[in-house]
Amino acid sequence: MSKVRSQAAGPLVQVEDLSVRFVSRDMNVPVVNGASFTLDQGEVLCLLGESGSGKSVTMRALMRLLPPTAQLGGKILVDGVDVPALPRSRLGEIRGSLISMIFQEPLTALDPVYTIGQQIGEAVREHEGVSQRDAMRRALELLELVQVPSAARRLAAYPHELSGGLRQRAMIALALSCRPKLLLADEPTTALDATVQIQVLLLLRELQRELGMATIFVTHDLGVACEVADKVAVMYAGRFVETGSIEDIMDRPSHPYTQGLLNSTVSESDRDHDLASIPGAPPDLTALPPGCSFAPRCAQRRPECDTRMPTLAGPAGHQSRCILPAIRAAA
Amino acid sequence: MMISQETQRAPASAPIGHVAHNGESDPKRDRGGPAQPMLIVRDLKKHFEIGGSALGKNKTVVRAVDGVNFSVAKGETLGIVGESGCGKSTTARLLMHLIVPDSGDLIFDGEEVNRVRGINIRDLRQNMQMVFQDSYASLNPRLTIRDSIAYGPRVTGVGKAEALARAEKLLGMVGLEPGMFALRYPHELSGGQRQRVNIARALAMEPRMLILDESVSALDKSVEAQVLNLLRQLKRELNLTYVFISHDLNVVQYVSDRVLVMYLGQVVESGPVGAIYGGARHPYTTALLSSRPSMDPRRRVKTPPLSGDPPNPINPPSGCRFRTRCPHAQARCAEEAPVLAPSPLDPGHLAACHFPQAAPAKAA
Repeated sequence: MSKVRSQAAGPLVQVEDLSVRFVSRDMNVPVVNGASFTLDQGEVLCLLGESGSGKSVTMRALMRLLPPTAQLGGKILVDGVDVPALPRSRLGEIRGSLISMIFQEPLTALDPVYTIGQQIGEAVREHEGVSQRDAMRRALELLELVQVPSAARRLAAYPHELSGGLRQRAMIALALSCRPKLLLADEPTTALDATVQIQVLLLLRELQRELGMATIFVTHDLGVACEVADKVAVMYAGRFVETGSIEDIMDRPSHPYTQGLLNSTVSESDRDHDLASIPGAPPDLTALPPGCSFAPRCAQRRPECDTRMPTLAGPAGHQSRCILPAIRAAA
Repeated sequence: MMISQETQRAPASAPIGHVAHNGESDPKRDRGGPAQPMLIVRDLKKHFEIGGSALGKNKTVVRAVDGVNFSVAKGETLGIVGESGCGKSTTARLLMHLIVPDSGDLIFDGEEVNRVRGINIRDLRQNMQMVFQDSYASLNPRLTIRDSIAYGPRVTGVGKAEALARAEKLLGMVGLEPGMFALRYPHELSGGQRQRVNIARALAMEPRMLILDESVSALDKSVEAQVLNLLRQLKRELNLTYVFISHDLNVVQYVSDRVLVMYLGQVVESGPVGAIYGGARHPYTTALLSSRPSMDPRRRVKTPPLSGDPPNPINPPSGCRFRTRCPHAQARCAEEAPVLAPSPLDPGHLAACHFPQAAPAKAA
C-alpha cells in the first residue's frame, strides 16, 4: 500500500478538470465536462442532479469503476494517489481500503451465494491478511457498528434473507470493513422506504463523523442532501452549475437551475397552486448547445447566454455558472 | 347499461366529448348523482398463498389486502400512502379487477361491480383507467404512440379515423405536439414524455376516474412537477376523480383532498389531508410524517422515529399490526385488533388505534 501512497498534505481528494467521455465506434458522448473540486478529511460532499447529469459517473471515475469505453481526462488525486495513472492491475490496492463504495441496490451489489459474514470476512482477509477467525470477529464488530440487531445470527444469513434496510446496513458494513478514507455513496437510500431511509441516513452521518471519513454522496433528492451534506455541487449536463455549502444552496440558490429544482420540489406551501416547474427536458449530451447548457430551459435567458458557456464564478465558498449574478451586482 | 354506452358514444364528432365545457359532468354518465360516491370499497380482501407442498401442506398466506374500506367522492383526489408491502398497489389492481378480490364489494357510482344487476368489468374499465409507474414497460414498443392511444377506443368499437383523431387531440392535451410526436415509438421519448403518453392513453377511454399508481415516482423532480401540473389541469378540465398512490408524502399532500394511510394490508388512518398532515392520530402516521427529511440543514432529524423495517406481511403481528414498532404499545394492543373509528372532533377523520393521539388539529 505504502508504495502507492505518497503522504500528501492538503485536501484528501483533489479533482481538477475531470472529464469523462463514452467512446465507441458509433458514438462519442461527453458525460462529464470539466468537474473540479476538493474534499477534506471528514467532509461530506453531495453531488446533486437529475438522471443523466453525470453525478454517478463523476463519482465512479474516482475509483475507476467505469466501463472500458470510458475515456478519462483531467487530474484525480486521492490521498496522494494519482488514480487515472494507476495500472488496472493495481486498482485492488485502493479499492476497499482507500476508497470504498455503497450502491443503490444492495440485492444486486451483494453476492447472493455467500453469507454476509463470508463476504465481509473475505474483504478483511484480502486487505489485512488476518486469519479467518479474526476476519469473522471483525465482521461481527462491523455488523454491530452498523446497528444490525442480533448481529451474530445475521452473519450467517444470505442477502435474500434480510430485509431491505438490513441489506443496506450489511453493504455499509462491507464498505467500511477496510477502514476507507473516502466513502462513495451512490443514492444509498433511494430504494428504501421512508421510515428506513431516515434510519440509514442518520447511521451514515453518525459513522462518517465517528470514523472521520470523507464522503461523497450522490443524490437527486434535496431532502437527503439537507440531512447529510456539508458541501453541495449541483450538476447539469455534465457540469457543476453551482457549488456551495448546503445552507448557501438552500437559502440563496444562485443558478436558475438550482432555483428551479428547489421550486419544483413539492412542499407544504404549494397546495393550492401549480408547481413552478422547469419547462422542457435536459439536453441531449451529444448535441449540447454552444452556450450555457441550461439556456434553452431558462426563464431568465439573455442573448449572451447562447454564445459562450459561463465559467463558475463568485466568492470562493459559493460559486455559480451563470452570468446573471455578475450582471445584477454591476447594476 | 349497454344503452347508456351507446348514447354516450353517439356524438362521434366530439372526441373527449363527455364533459361539458364548464367542467361539469354529463348527466347521462353521472348515473348516481353528485352525492353518490364515485367508488365505494367494502371489506376488500386479497390473500396470496405461497409455498407449501403439492398437497397443500405448510402453505403460508400473505394477507396483502385484509379488509379495506373506503370511498372516493366524485371529483376528489384520494391519496393512498404507505411503505412497500402495505398493499397499496394490490389495492389499486383490485379496484381495476386486474387481480380478482377474494371477497369484498366494489360499488362504482351506485352500481355493484361484477354483479348481475351491476356494472360489468368491461364497462368498469372504460370508466376507470390506470397509469402505472414504469412508463416504458407499460407501452407496447412496437406501436407508435398514436396507435397505442387509439388502441383502446378501436377495440371498443370506435372507427379508425375517429380513434386516430382522438389520439392526436389527446396528445395535444397532454402537451405533446401531435405533428411532432404522433408517429414516434416509445423508445424515442424521454421518461416524462412517455408518462404523458400513458396518461393520454388512459384518457382515450374517456374514463371518469383514474388510478395513478406511483405514476410520477420514477421521474426526475423537474419533470415530476410538470406531470403533477398536467394531472391537476386535466382533472379540472375533464372533471376527473383520482386515486393517487405514492410513497412520497410530500407529493400526496400536494395532490390529495383526502388521504388513506395503509400498514400491512390494512387502513390505519384516513381523513382530510389537513387533518392527517396537521393532526395525525395514529402513531404510524406520525412516525411516517416525521421520517421525511427536514429540508432545512439547520434542523436535521436527530433520531429516527421508528427502528427496523416493516414486518413481513406473511405472519403479521397479532392484534394491532403496528404494535411491534409502536412506542405506545400496551398489552391490549397484542390481544385486540383496533377498528377504524372516527375522531370525536371530526367524524371524517378515522384512525385504527386503541390509544389515538389527541394531537391539536392544526388548520391545513
